[in-house]
Amino acid sequence: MQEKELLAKLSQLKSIEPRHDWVILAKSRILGAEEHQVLRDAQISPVARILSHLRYLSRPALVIAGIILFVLGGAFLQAQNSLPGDRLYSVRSVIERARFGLSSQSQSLVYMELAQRRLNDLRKVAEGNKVRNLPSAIKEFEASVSQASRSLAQLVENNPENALQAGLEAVQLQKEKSQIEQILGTTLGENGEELENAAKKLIEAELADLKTRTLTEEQGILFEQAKTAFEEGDLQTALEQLWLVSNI
Amino acid sequence: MGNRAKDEFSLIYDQHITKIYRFIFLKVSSREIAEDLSSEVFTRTWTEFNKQEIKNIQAFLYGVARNLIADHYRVQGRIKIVSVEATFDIQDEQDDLQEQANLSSDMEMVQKALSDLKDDYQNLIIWRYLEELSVPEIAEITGKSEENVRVGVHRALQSLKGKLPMGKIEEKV
Repeated sequence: MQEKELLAKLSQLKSIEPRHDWVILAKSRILGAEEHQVLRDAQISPVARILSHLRYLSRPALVIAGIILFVLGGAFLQAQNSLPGDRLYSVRSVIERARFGLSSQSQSLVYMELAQRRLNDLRKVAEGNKVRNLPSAIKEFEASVSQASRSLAQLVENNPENALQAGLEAVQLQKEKSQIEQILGTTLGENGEELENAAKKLIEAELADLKTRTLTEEQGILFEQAKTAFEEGDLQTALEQLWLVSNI
Repeated sequence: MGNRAKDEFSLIYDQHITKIYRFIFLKVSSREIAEDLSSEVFTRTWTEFNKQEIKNIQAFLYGVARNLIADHYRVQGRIKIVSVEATFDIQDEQDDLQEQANLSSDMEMVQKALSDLKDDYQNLIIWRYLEELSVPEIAEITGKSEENVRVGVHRALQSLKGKLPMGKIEEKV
């Protein structure tokens, strides 16, 4: 093989490409996650707000108020970085719930987001080998998943047309949970089943609904792919295809 | 975060998603992991995109991808990139049948040789010969001088040849 041939072979590796469906779906997820991101960014803004008030330093009453705010802001920030089992964790939990309570997202997506945050906490605890925090982190995660599952089940029953996004989040959560289980070397309770059952119900409802509708050729193919994936137990693919049926 | 930013980022996504996916896939040899990491690359970039101006988006994307790949192997407790042969055993059959079918035995051999190179050399080969980036572009990504990149690419190619069990290859530089 000449060098030219070697380079030709190398360029053939260009045939490695991502799945078209995944490319579309991932893009939609990333750009659709804007609102979640605003909430994440909001963790930094209180400090910026406190600092912006430093221009009132010439007024003593405002200085005192500023100092109090600054101290509270410090505690607030510390709470933001706390993990289940830490002293300030309860503060963080209250702040998060209050903030999400004010958001315009559907309740189910809020619970999914909270469950995702608890999963991130658990991942930090597992990767950092923080044994002290582990029982609390697992407990918090299981409780939030349980809440998210119940909420998803309700959404499927009451508002199925808005349940797909939450379903996708649920399956993603389940997948990440499995990765953490691998790190921990143990399974995390029965809540995964609860979440999986809610996702299954959602897919069944979607498939039944789509069966009654007139679909384009492309939608028909995606529908069949979703059905096959569901029968094979591949919930993520099934949900992705269903999402595409509704969004192409 | 207006619609304009979304449109702009949407274009960036369309232009780079395949390259970033391929870059990651060649290092992790699993479609599922490559999808997860690629998605994370663009999520993080989108976050930064909304906070600050990113001067060189391509360099930024590859930078995030490299960090995520390193994190992935750190968590997995692995330091070496999995070879193609090994991967074919552990990959989800359904996931990669098509990709496997598309690979000729020569390509498999080249991909395996590539995966056996040290990380820096792999990057240089992928960027220069697969993605056909220019030397200045690679210099931007790596933060090295153009001269260093040229030397690095030359050495990487030599090293790749050395990994291929096919006798001496004539060099045309």
